[in-house]
Parts: sequence; structure tokens; C-alpha cells
Amino acid sequence: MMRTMLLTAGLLAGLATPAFAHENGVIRLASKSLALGAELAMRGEKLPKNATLRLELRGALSTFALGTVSTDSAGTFQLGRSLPPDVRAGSYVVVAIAPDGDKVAQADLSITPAPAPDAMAAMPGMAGHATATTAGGDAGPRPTAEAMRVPVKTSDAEHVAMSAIIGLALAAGAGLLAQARRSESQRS
Amino acid sequence: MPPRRWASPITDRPAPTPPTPLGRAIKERLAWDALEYRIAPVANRLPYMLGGLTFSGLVSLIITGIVLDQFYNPSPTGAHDSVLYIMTRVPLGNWVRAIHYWSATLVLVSVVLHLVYVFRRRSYQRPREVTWWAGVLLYATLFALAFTGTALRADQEGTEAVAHAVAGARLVGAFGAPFTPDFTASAPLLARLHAMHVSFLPIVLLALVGLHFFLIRFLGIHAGEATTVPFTHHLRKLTGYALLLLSCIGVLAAFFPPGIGYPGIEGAEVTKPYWPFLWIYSVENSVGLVGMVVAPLVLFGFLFVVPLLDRPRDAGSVRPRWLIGLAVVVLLLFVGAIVHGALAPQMQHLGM
Repeated sequence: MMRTMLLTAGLLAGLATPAFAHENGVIRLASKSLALGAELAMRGEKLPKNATLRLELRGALSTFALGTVSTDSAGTFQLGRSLPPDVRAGSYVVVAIAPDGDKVAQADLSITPAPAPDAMAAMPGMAGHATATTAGGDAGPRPTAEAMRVPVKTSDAEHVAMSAIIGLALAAGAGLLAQARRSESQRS
Repeated sequence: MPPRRWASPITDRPAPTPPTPLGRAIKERLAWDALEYRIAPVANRLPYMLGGLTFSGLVSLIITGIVLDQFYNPSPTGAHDSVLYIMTRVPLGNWVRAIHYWSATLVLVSVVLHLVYVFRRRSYQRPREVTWWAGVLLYATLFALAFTGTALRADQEGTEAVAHAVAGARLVGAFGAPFTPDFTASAPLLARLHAMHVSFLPIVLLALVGLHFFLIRFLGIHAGEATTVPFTHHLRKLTGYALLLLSCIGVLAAFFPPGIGYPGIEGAEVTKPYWPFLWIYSVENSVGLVGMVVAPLVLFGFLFVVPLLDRPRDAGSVRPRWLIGLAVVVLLLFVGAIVHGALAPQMQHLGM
């Protein structure tokens, strides 16, 4: 019996092991933290040679295309590109994807909010930039106590899983209490 | 080795059905017999199980917390997005988060009911003072966990909670230094609050739970009757109630999941805190920011000195009436301040 249990556990562990992509390449970012509107500079190494790679900026909620890049015969590339205009501050991953869809390299990137308008205006050559980045003179987001309207969709499978877990807990709880009551009546 | 005789723990008669080999193996190898010590029958009444039900809520919080932490990003720029990710992209993520929220709510309610019931029964008296104090510290730790949990959402309410933590930390000087952004430049305050929420505070909590359980095991509960019922029977009944409660939480979580505010903007004060903190908020409305230090000191200070104020002089000594009156006043002020905080208009405290 113990052997069967171990075998089953081994099989399940094998099934649960993710198939790793051929991620041997390296992306080196000039800076791991960038302010909104800044330029993203990077260098790729140890990548497939003479290949065209697709670059993506992946966040928790959105993915942005950064275009394509071609590697040289040494498997390297260099790139400087502005951050997409609609990207928000947050934690992201820059990902290089091979033509076959495999992820070949990635690097973490933190995008911070743009400097405050006053601070930017005070910086040489930056006067007026803040107005341009805040949606045509809008004062920017305002604090609010309101809750966000988050579009949460629950799939049928999730409904089934939730019902099953609740039902199991209910049945097990009721069963244990019934068992306890039987023991008490035996006692009296 | 002949198999051990399997008997009903209640009747000491042979059980009607023999145990499964797996059950027998578990009983034998995990020293399950050690749990068959006798306790007072009254422990199987629901009011006596409030502590155990609080513990079941803690188990739910730990399990759901581990799941949520796989997807949570404690960086100031990524936290809010990662909560949205949990709500919208992780399978069952919104439900797991809702169970975490409702379990926290259950725990904060049941621990108060447990405290009130223990106070009513004078179970804090010698030799159980340390059991009571461990319980009071547990309650304080739960508050700290609820507070840090609120901050982790990084929405407007969470951002304001962090601002309050910083202001409160500055009020208490060196003791509050770890809660200020100036403590270190190497890690943002949100990341450190996250670390407290998932490591330091749970370790403190589990240590206190361990102490609380140890003392209950060896000092017993304040029951005043013979110990005749095996603990395993109590455990079965408690687990039954806990599972029923958890299924109720599952239903609540499915139909009333907690929302999230918009990403927090620092320097603003437009929200009210999570309801268990409204009593502090209400005091802040009256006396300003210092209320966030004074109010918890008064409540936890009172709870702490209770065993010292009611020491048994002799076997038949009664509790001083003034202590009962004081406890009723503290309870009414606590509940009243929560209601007042909920109904009062939103106020700014950080500039007060």
C-alpha cells in the first residue's frame, strides 16, 4: 500500500513539473528601475544566433509589445527604446521570445511613476514635460475612498470547485458532529 | 506484536467497527493516544469552543495566506497590480482572497467573544494568569496582523494605513523606528510590512498559541467539574464546528468578496480604516493622532491588569463590583467607538 502511495505521489509530482522553456539567454538592462516616459536600454547575450526575437514587457495585468530585434552571429543585440506611452508604474519583466514561441531570456524591470510636475519643472530642460505626460493638463489621479470596479469573472470550473470544497467541508463537519453526538448518547 | 485493543474513548467498551489499517498505523505511529487525556465535559459546549474556533480561523488564514503570497508582489509599484492579478487572473484567487478576509473578520470577532466569556467566568485567576496574558498578547498580535494586511493592498485605504503607521511610529520614538521609511533605504516600508505580515508576526502568533495551548493542556480549563471526557472527543466536535464555520466562510466569500480601492495616493486622507480599527479611528477623531497610541494602550492595558485586579482572597471570594462595572464600560466604549467611527464623517488626522 505504501508503495502504491509513493508511486502515485511520484506520478503526480511528475505531472505537476512545468516544462521549462529554453531560457539560456541573458538580457542586461541599463537600469532595473525606470521612471515612466524614460528610455529602456538593454543588451542581449547568449541568445540564438542570427535570429529575430520578439520583445515584450509583461506586467501583472498587461503585456506590451516592444517590437522585434535581430541578434548577430554572436547571439547578442543592443536596443534603446522608449517605454510604451500607455504603460503604468509597476513591476514588469522584459521577455525575449524566439520565433518558435519559446522564451529565451528575461529581466526584471521596475517602472516608477514619473517625477512630480514641480520637480520636473525644476530640472533643466524638463519644463513643460509634466503637462504633456498628464493627459493634456489634467491634474492627475485624485485620491478617492471609492472601491474599484474590478471585472472578476468566475468560470464554471471555479464554481464547481468552490461548491465542492464548501460541500465537502459541510458534509465532513456535519459527519463529525453526528459522530460526536452518537458517542455522547452511548455515554449517557 | 498483537494489535492494541480498540475501544470507544467515551465508553471504554470495544468500538463497534474495527479501525482501518491506515487509522491503526496513524494512531500507533503518531502517538494519538496522548490526545486521549480527560477534560471536563463542559468544554464541549459551544461557548467554551470559541478559542478553538478562533484557532480554526487562524488555520484558514495561514493556508489562504500561503496561497495569496505566491502571487503577491510587495514592491510599492507592483503591490496593487498584483492584488488585481490575484482577483482577476489567478484561478479561485478572488475566492481565496475573500476567504482570507472573512477568516480575519471571524477571528477578530471570535477572539473578542472568547475574551468576554473567559472574563465572565473569571478564568484568568490563579494559576491561569499567564494563559490570560498570552491570550491578550495574541489579540494584540492579531490586530497587528490585520493592520499590516490592510496596508498590503496598497490602495487608498492601505496607503493611508501606512501613513498612520509611520505617524504612530514617530510618536513612540526609537521603538517605532522599524515602521518608518527612514529605517533603511535598502527596502521599502511596504516590503518590510509584508515581511512582518508573513514571517515575524505569524511566528509570534504561533509561539503564543503554543504557549496558550500548553498552559491549557497542563493547567486545564476553569470548569469546576471532574475531567471525564477524552480530549479526542472534544477535538472531533470542535473540528466539526470548525468545518461548518469554514463552509459558512466559503459561502460568504463567494457572495460577498472584499473589493479594493484605487491605487493609493500618498499625502491624502479620504478613507476610513478596516472596521476592527474604527474604535481607534473614533478616538483619533476626538483627541488627534495621539489617540492611535493611547486607545490601544488603554484597552490592552486594562486587559493586562485584569488578573491583578481580581486575585482570589479565599475560595468563596466574589469579584469586586467596580471591576465588573469597569469592564462593562470598557466593552461599551469599545463597541460604541466602532459604531461611532462607522457613522462619523471622514476626518483627517495626520495633520492634527
